[in-house]
Amino acid sequence: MAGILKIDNLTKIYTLGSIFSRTKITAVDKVSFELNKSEILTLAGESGCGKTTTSKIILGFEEPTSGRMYYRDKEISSIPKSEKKQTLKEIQAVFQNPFSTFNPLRKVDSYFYETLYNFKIASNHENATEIIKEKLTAVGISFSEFSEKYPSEFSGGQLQRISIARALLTNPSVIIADEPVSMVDASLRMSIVNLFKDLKQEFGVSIIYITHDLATAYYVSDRIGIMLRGNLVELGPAEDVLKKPKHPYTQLLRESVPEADPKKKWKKRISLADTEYEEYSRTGCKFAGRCPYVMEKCKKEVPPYFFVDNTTVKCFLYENQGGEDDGLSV
Amino acid sequence: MEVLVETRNLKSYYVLNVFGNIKTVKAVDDVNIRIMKDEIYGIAGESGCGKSTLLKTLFGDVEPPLRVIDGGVFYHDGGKEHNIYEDGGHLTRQFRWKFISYVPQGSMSVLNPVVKVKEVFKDFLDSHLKSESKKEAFDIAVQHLRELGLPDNVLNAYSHQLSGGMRQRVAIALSTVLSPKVIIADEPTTALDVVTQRGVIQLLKDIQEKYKNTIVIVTHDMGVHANIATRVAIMYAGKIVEESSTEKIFGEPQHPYTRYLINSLPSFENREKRTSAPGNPPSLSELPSGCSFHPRCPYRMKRCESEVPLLKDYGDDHSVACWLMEEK
Repeated sequence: MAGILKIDNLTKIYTLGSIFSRTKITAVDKVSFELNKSEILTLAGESGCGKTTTSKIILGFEEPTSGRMYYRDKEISSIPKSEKKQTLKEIQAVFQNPFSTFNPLRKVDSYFYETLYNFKIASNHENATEIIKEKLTAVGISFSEFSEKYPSEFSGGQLQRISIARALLTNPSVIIADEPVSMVDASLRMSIVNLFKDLKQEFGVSIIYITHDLATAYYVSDRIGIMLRGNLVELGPAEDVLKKPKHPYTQLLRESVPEADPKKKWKKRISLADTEYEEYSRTGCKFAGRCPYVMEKCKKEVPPYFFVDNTTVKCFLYENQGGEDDGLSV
Repeated sequence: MEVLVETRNLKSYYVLNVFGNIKTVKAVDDVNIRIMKDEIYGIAGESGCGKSTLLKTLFGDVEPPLRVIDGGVFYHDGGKEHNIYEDGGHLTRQFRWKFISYVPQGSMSVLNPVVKVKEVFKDFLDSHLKSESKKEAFDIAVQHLRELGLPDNVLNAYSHQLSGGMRQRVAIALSTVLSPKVIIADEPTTALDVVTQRGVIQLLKDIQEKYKNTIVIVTHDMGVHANIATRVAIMYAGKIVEESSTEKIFGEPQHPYTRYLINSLPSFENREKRTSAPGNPPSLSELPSGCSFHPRCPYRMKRCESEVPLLKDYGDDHSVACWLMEEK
């Protein structure tokens, strides 16, 4: 399978403060991965780990400080302006809060017609309506309950499906979904997640699913990447990463997911990170302050990537177990 | 077991006057609950099922358009029973923060952003304890934070300098500083990520174990309930549809809605396709006739369309409001 989207050594540094007290935060630190055709790749991690920044850079909302991105073997930044629209058409986004995705004073269907005319997919109203109906069917919303309505007239779950339908209008090959279910009720969550599964199977869409909810990530994704303070610390098949987590941080994340079973209560106690800034400014491994297996080495050097049973791990614990990896995907 | 807070046929509705048309939103409709001493009582349900309104009513924070139409909320304190809605609700002030305290939803924004955390604590102690000097109030705050295992230096920070999880823990510390008997927490972990969520729940559990008080926790995350609650009530469209111990709710859920809630959760054991309850939750201003769940229920019978099932104890402290239970 050929990679459809390739991210290579992506770095984003934010500078905070004035000229006198300047601090730098590396929000995304040399992240590399590849997205295959019709694959769901999850980027997971706690808040402030850089997963949203990564998605913003891919979507072009933020300029990367360094690093390259390739879409179908073409470097995105070198694509001429005339073809940029074509790339935009191919990579679409679904955002966290459906109520802030749409302008509350504008009818939702106007976005749909506008997108279709902008990308010259439809030439007239009938044609456009035809396409909209088709996409709405894919997400399980009928045209009659959708047309001529304002965002406030929908429930959160419905509106999130509508924003997925909007992303589908241009027949994209990549959808970037940033926390698409975190605002949706637990009971309706599965219907959105199932929708992503169906899209992958029926339309062959590749999805980057960004979330902190490991349970749905396990349910839906083919591969999972775990991010910590800007670093991609573990990347591998969902089955391997979540059944046998390798990086101590992944182990902590995996254990912290509350399971709906009173027999599986948490027993161990954990310590929380004091401030995000402190972890960002660590020189060695960013997890060294909270890691139960911390070694002297971890505090000084940044661990390289190691390749252990299908998974790429950024941790010194696996130094002697596998070959050193170049950090690229499997 | 000692009952601390009790509701009897509590009905609190939002009464809206839209251009002369009176619209009633039945957010809490005929709810009877008894919250005991030394327990963690969980309330679960989808958004818009009335769980936050129930908490507000329990706390005595009822402002128009919300009105208590019928029934009452009773606090049992010092061997006496107090109906907090008698007397126009003036009673609530003497109970607040000493008997019952509240961690509101989105506590991230509870703290005043322009003063330091210690000022917030001082403000708080000033209005509830008489003749507290600045120094003494500060000492109480420091001691309390230490007991909860939070660093003292948060007192000198502004709220925006703290991370989300820390702010949430400070808000919890603030609501427990006068060691109340009942703590009401509305979605205390919803905006947090899993690791921080675990830290906050750990803190709530520690507080409960230490002070032997009661926590009422509302969240839609069934995983959190499984972890912390001792008893769970499931709320649907303003009514409690099932109530029992956590083990029974998760082990033998009876109401079809509870079963959907639990079975729709993804688990790490299998990746088989899971489905959530069909359809959408009803609007609280136009409830379906009979059992509110009947349009979405796969087991509905003729009876469900017209008669409202009442919450009834079917033995072993397992109460269910469903006509299916009568058939058995």
